[in-house]
Amino acid sequence: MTPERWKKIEQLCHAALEREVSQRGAFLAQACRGDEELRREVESLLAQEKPAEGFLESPALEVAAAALGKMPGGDGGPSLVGRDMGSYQILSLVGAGGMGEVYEAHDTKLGRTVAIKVLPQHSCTIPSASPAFSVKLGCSLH
Amino acid sequence: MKALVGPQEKGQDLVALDEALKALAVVDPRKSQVVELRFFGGLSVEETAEVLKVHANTVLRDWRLAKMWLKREMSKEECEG
Repeated sequence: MTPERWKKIEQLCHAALEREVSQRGAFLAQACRGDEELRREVESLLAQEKPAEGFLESPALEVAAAALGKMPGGDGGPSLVGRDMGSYQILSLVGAGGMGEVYEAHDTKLGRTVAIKVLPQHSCTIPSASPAFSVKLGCSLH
Repeated sequence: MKALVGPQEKGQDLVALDEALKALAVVDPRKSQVVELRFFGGLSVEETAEVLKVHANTVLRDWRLAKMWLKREMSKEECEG
C-alpha cells in the first residue's frame, strides 16, 4: 500500500468517525465513489470501532503479569529462563524465595535490561492483589 | 479499565499483538510508535506527544486508529489460525 493510499484511508476513517453511525454509509458511498476497495478498507476499520474501545487500555505489564502467573515457572515449576514474554526475553534467574522469583530480562521494545519479579501463583488469585510481577525499568542487576 | 483480552490467552495475545505491531510499523511507523510508547512504555498522551514531537490531539487520533487497525489485523490472524 502506498503512503498516499493509507493517508486517504486514514482521513476517511477519521471523517467517518466524526459522523453519526447512520450517516457514515452515505458519506462513504459519496467519498469512495468508483473505488470499492477503498470503501471496503475504511469500512473494515470502522467495524473495529467498538471492539477497539477498551483494547490496550491496561498497561502491558498487567497483561504479562497475569500470563506469567499461569506459566509453569510462576509457581515453583520449570524455570522461565529462555522464554519470551511479549517483549521481554527472560535471561536468567537472579534469586528465588518464599515471595517468588526474580529474573533478569531484556526489554526488546525499549532495549534495556529489567528485573522481573514473579510472585507465587496463590498471590494472583485475588483480583485486587498486586500484580504477579513488577518491572524496574533501566535498573542494573550487576 | 478492560483487560487486553480474556484471561485464558493473554500470553499468546501479546505475541499476536507484537506481530500486528510489526505490520503496522510498515504501514504507519508513527502509529506503531504511539502504541509502543503508550502500551509498552506506559506513557500518557502528553508524554507520548512530547517524545514524538507532535500535538496531543495527533497522538489521540493515532492511538484510536492504531487500535482499530491492530484489532482488525489480530482478528485476521485468528481466522487464519
